[in-house]
Amino acid sequence: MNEPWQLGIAAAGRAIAGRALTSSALVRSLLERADHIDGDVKAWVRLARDSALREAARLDAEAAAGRLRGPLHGVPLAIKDIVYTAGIETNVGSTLLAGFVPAEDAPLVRRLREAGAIVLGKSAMTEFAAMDPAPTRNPWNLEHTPGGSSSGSAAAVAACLAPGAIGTQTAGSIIRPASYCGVVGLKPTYDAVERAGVFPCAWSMDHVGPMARSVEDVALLYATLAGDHKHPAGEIDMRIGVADRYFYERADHDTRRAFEETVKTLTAAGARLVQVKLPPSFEAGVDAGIVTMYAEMAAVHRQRFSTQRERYGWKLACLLDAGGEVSAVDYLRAQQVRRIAGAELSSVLSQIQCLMTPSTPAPAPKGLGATGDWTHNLPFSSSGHPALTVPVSLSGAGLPISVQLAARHGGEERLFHCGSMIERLVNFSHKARCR
Amino acid sequence: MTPTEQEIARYRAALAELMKRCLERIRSMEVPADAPPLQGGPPHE
Repeated sequence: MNEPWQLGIAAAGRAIAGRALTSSALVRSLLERADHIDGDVKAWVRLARDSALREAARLDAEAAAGRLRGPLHGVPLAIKDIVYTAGIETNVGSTLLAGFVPAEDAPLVRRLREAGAIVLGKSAMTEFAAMDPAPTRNPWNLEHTPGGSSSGSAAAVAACLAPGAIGTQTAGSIIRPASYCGVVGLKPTYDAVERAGVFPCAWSMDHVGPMARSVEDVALLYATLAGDHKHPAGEIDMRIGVADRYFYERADHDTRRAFEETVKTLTAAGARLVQVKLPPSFEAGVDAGIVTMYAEMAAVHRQRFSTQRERYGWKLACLLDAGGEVSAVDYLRAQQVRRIAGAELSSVLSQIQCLMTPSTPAPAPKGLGATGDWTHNLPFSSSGHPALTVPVSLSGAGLPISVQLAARHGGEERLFHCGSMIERLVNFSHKARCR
Repeated sequence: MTPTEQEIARYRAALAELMKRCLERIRSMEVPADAPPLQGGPPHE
């Protein structure tokens, strides 16, 4: 058998259900792994060693008594430090919240715990989910950024420090780090996963979603996170759209090559790749998202920023100044534009199974002072359409390159279908960083 | 890492340019006067 820390979510759940593994052994194995490598990766901001071991023992006793809660029974997860966890300090990547210990779990954490998942710890993130980076490094090359803002969640999954993780995205904070770290990540439909108990970045663009090392594992987490909001797939076909502009033209040489190879592989497997014309309002929808995001961030931080400005990171301080200058009239114009652009994009997405783009314009940049480019992810954060990233290849420098799939609102099952097909065809090896 | 004054000024200038471009685009887009804004977030279909 693999070492327990190498197992993905479904495999670990099956091993626990089949009594081939205990949850306690899995948690201990992951804690030892963290002791061994997290000094380099810095994915964890805080491990919940004692509570995770206690919870694992309780779930092992349940399993021994024949009471299994489901596929997540006994499976430990990394939770981004923006999500409230009862009794576990939650800092949102800022010293301003040092010592804050939520009294209650966020409802999404409660759902995961009720399904048998264990909070192994809190994963590192950029300050208030904005631009000032976490100390986390990319497990594929420690000199490169893992992306942000869900930096620790993506790095923890990639380095086999956890089989799965929860992240959040306002611009590109799930898809981009998952792509840079070579893992699968889902930014669900807006509001499909409850945001209560998640510190806001920008209310109308914040999304919560899972990361793991396979589409199957991400789908398992999503089923628990979304609960009743989960939609059936509907009619599945093989029409995959490729955009006529915006994405490919921004991509670097390695990313274009990986994207072209994926198109060829899918076509050879019988998929119907069709070029789709993005609506004329597409770019305006993106720009409206930027205006919305910065204005809402300024509103979230208005009071704290006015009295404790010096305790904010310098990039976030600049963003909050810029967002604070957006007038109410311009903010409302941005909301009108988002509604129009989102509806026009919905009309395009309704004609295909999913739209496929490069997940990011380039692989993870070198350096830890910035977290990369969210240009390819912001359109779907602004419109609220679901997006999934699936790794497909490595760059010449050995860094992961991924494709992003987007679908109509509520189209997560379509994304899982397309993503699984791509995963099967390209056979990307996650194990490279899990030795 | 503490940024230099120049780095901060460059970042501010880039942000100002980005916001100017975004605002120009959304202000110049033809939007019917009665088009309702999003309220709370993108709608589900």
